[in-house]
Amino acid sequence: MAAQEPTCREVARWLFSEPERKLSEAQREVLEPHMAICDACVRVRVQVKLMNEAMAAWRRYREEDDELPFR
Amino acid sequence: MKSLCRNEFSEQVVALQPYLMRFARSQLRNEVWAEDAVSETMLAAVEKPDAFAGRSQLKSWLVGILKYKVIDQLRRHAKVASTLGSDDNEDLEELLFQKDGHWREMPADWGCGMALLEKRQFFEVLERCQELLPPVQARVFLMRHWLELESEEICKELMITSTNLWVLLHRARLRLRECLENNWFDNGEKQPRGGSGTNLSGGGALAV
Repeated sequence: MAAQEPTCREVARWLFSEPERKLSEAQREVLEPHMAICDACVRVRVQVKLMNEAMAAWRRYREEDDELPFR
Repeated sequence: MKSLCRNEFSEQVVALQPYLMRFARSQLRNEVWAEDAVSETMLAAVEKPDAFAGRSQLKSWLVGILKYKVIDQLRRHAKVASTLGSDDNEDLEELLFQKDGHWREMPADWGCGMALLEKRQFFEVLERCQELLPPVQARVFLMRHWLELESEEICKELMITSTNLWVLLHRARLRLRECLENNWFDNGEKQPRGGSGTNLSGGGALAV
């Protein structure tokens, strides 16, 4: 039986939780067909990738730059 | 001579107190815990000046100690540190998604975003956006991304389940995404949503 297609809300949860929670095989199977027809989720996947890559750079930046606008 | 050096070292450590406080405040979201963590850091440093080998900058060395002291505080106050407030319970998903699970608004195209990682202003916005996170979300988010703790360690220190942690991190990231989209990537096509705590255009907004 084919797994149910996920909603964008579910896809966003999967993508944002992926650093800690790897997708299951069943989730991966239904994710890619959804991506093929959903421009919004494709954009969110790019956003998640950028945010993940920004974290390490941000960590360095905030410790090295004395002028960052902390309260 | 040695005591003079020690005094000079102590003065340099004390001078960095405001620098350390901003990290402690940011992570702990509690002034008293932050002051305790910084005091313990400075005390540990001035008691063992010889431990500072001078290979790294003094402030980097102190931040390294502070991270352990901050974790001590989180462990000590785990129950309070992980108690959700009303802000943490606010459901941003309800604002972002329709009832059928589709996005209410098309997410912006961040496709050229990698170049932003070279831009100081981007990190300023990111810093401000994480400041807007509700307290518990902010604590777990920074434990993950500033203290670089693994999920299991965060759950252990805060005495929360892995499911709770995933929900908190998901909410924090969704909120950050919304804040970045409204305040950095917004090309004027849409209005920031009110009530979701992700708009920097209030008092002291960045010129972005």
